[in-house]
Amino acid sequence: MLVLVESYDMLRWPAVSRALAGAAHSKGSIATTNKVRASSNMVEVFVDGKPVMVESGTTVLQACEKVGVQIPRFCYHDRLSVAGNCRMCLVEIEKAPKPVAACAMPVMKGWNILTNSEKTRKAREGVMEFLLSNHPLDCPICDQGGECDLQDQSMMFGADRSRFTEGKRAVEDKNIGPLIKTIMTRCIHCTRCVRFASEVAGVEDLGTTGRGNSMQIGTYVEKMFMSELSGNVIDLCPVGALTSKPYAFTARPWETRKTESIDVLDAVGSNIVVSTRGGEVMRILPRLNEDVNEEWISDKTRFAYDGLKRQRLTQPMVKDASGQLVATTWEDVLTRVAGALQGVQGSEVGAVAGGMVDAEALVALKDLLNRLDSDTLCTEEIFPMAGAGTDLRSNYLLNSRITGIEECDFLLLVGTNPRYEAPLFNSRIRKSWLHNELQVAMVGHKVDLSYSYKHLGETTQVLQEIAAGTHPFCKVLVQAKKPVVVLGSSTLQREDGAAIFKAVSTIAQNSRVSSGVEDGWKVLNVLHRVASQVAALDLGYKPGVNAIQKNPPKVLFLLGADAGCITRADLPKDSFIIYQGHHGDVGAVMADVILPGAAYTEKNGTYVNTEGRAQQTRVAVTAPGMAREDWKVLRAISELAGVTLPYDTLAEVRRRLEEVSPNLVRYDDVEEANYFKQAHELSKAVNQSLLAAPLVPPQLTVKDFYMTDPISRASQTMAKCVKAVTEGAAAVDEPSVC
Amino acid sequence: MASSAATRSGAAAVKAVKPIFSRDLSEARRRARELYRAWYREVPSTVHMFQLDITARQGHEKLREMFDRNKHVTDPRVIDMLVIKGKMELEETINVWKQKTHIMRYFHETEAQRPADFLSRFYHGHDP
Repeated sequence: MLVLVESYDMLRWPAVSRALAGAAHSKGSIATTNKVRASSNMVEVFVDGKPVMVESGTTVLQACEKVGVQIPRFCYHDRLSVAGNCRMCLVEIEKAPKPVAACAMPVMKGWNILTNSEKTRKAREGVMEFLLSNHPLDCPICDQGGECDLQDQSMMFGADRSRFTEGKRAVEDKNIGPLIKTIMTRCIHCTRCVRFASEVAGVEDLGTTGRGNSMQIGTYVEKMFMSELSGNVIDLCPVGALTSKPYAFTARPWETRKTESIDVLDAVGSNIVVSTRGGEVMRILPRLNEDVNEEWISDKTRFAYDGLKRQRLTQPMVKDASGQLVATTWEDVLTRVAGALQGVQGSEVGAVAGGMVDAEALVALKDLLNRLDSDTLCTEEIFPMAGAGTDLRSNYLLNSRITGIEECDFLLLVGTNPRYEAPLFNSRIRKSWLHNELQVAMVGHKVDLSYSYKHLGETTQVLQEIAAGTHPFCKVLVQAKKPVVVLGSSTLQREDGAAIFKAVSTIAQNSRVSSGVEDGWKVLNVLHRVASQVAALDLGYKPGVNAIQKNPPKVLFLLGADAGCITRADLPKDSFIIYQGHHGDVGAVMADVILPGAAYTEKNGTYVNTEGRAQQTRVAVTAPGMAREDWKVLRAISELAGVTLPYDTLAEVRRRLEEVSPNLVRYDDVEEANYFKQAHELSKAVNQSLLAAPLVPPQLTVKDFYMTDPISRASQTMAKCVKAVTEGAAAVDEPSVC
Repeated sequence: MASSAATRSGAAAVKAVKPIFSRDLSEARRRARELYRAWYREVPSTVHMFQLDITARQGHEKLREMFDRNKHVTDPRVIDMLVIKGKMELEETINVWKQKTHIMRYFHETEAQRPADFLSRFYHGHDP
């Protein structure tokens, strides 16, 4: 809201401020000017007569925001470069002949910024009149209605009557993909999308063509906006020119309920807002979190929500005599499961946990199996157990944190494609590369990252040479003042994962020593690809299904395990497989008993992201049909099996989580890990040799990005994206109402 | 307020407040007993008047249960308030201002019992 200030004797203020400034330079006797002397680049300006100290170089808009006065704008965005082309932020500076664009003009000493004077208001009304002159009357059919900057600002700052009697211009719609709906007639040419695409996303696809009235924003040639962060332009566009195609015409913002939650489709743990209406998810929007995802989310996070409605397990199922899965009741299915668990020895029970399981379910399963004398709980993702393995947390976390990338000056990526494995991490690297001159080098298959990097090769030989110090690149590495090494978890899935880890650990330790950086700086990082891995390792799960393959159990519990690591062929003939999850994917097909669980939008779950930050999802919709929250199913099984778990409510489960590992309930905080030197010493004892196979991450092109987990595999929008990427945008079947 | 402040220092900490009817606990309990006797005598004629499907014995048991629910109360003013409400209910019952359904509401017959233990709640549905 604007602050209306009665400034009576305006002429007095600049004179006073000049006097103050003069005094500061000579004596500095007045208290307020002490600050001017202390940090020499602080400048005093006045916003509607209120004095405020700002650093020199801040813009008028930022100075006003510091006081709490928000100046209307369309083209300015604090994460993009300044364009200054919308002219909505024009404010009058006292005794200046023309109003200045607040977003672009740096403040001068002693200026009095009048944000609500006659001239300012006239300027805003004029700009609004011009913007609306070519803007179509689409509000009733425009998706942005209710959350449209143009609507809000025209109500607040625009004129109340129109003088428009001419004709409006129209622009053709552009097809830039199956995700973004473009109605370019509504575009006001703020160029936020152009700047986002070129700066943050790194794809220089969008641009402006023509000038003046015939200016158009688009890709000029029929090209798709092919970036994994493309959906963010939908949030950026202040009008309804760029909207979400899957969300088109489905809901209005005032009728949705917003629930704050966390995304679990990758290991970054982006903060999201789940908008629901009538018990179904309407759309997913990003939430601001400076440390994790700023205000962006990837396309998979944003658009895969329609997969939550397809292929869902809604009823408990049991395989009958003919081998078909038949729906049944909870009592029946739980009795069978409890009977199976009670009928075998501890060594004959095993469990595999998948990639989207919350920590509450993981701890409940572990407690249940431990009470049945079994400790064969595995995750699908492998982590080398040789050396320190998962005993030291620093071995498997992204220790530098995502914000640490902004401070480092040299980054070495090993066997990972962060662009598609963790898009928000990649955008942070790009931000650092763009603004802080980060140097990036990569060992692994050459991939198209959104920034330039030095490709060192893709063989393990290169890794060995860098570790030994014989590679020519080591000279550059030695000069790094704050080095960071990121190892992708896909390389650890190989058989020589332990040797790779040892080599990377050596590289990290050497570069740490040679850089002379202080103790708090962490060099070695592991980038995970699944959301539940860090929590599972924190709780004591064995990484990789080795333990199960060596000793195949008679009863196997699959908790959301859909990667197909263990199949019927690996188990003895009459084995009993129990699957608990939310989608009918690979795991459900091979199961004897299906227990329907809740997806991430339907439960209060704790997920730890790859940095080690515990975050919680919240219930946005209830699970469909007879599905229940995962830990509750396990608690019910335990009661029927005679080994009742000691918790009945969510608070008690979280207390148990705290008992095992306190960082799991310290939400939104990163628990730092240490003992790098000791871990390195232990890894030196590893005696594995590196295989000759090249380091190739599984996600190489954008085609591999869209469908990686049960929810996105069930999503029609993601399928359309894959089709568009492989066959072209025109090949995708869209309803003609668009 | 001054009286309460003055008496706060006492070990028993008995507050002196304005009474509703009874001046002390024994008087309040006397009123409760009188109410019980009035209700006890009214129950058989209630059962007859409203043509209830319960026996007088069941009515008496329910009466005892309702009074037992408040047996832990020690504040005379609260006891007085409860007695006043009980008297209102009695008046409505005697004058047949209530109906059969209102009397039977004391017996909670049509209220579904909420499952109390974990497993029953689990089978019943999502409970937050």
